[in-house]
Amino acid sequence: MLARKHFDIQAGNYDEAGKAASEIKRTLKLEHCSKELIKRVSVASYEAEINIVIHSVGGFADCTIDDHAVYLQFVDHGPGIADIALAMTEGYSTASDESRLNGFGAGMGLSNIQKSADEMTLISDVNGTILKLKFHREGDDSHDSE
Amino acid sequence: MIASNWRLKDWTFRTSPETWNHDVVGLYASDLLSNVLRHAEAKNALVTTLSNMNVIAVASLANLPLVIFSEGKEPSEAMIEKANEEGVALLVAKEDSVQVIRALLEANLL
Repeated sequence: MLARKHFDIQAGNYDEAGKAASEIKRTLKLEHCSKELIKRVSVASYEAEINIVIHSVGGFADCTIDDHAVYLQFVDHGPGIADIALAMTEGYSTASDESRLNGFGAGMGLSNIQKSADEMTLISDVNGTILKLKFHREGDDSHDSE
Repeated sequence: MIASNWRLKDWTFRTSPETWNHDVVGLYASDLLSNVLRHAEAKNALVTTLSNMNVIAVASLANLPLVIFSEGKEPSEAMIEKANEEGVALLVAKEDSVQVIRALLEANLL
């Protein structure tokens, strides 16, 4: 294991939203991940962090990087996603008017995450949601030399 | 093309001159941050009417060196401070997004 980071994420705090994603990006740079990988991880981690800020009562993120992959885990403490298939549909959103005013609520978050990650697991009930993501690092060298 | 060349008309920078020296290539316009994250490419300028901290966070994450706030949307002091830290230039234009893009086209910046 090369690096491991933990971040608390506050619900409803739009001004602080993006801090975890920003720190994750910094960590990947220090680990010499490719630009392409950093972009994919940045998109997914920002969307996942924003989901916790907008939709949950709060939670945390864990980031682990080893030689083979970047692993992200986003956990919140509820109220859960009522219908995951519907939530995955592009354009569907339950975001509040306040979050829409902040530029969110496009209904693209989970879809952006799925397209960015190589592997994704999403488990949710009323007690909370766990999102696990894996990003392969195999392409690192070839992408860097392009 | 460096960011300072993108200041047209009476558009004004809100960030420090250090932020004006970054390369800007191409442009993306949207008021939805998920779309910015998905579709904007590194070095793009962003034209938006959104003015909040999340715009700065997204610009930084997506490696966007310049944000042009259209319709005269003013960034807050906290946003300006964060943008200076992150090296993101902020321009304010009173025109709407379409007029901003037209002006950039006429100036051969796109």
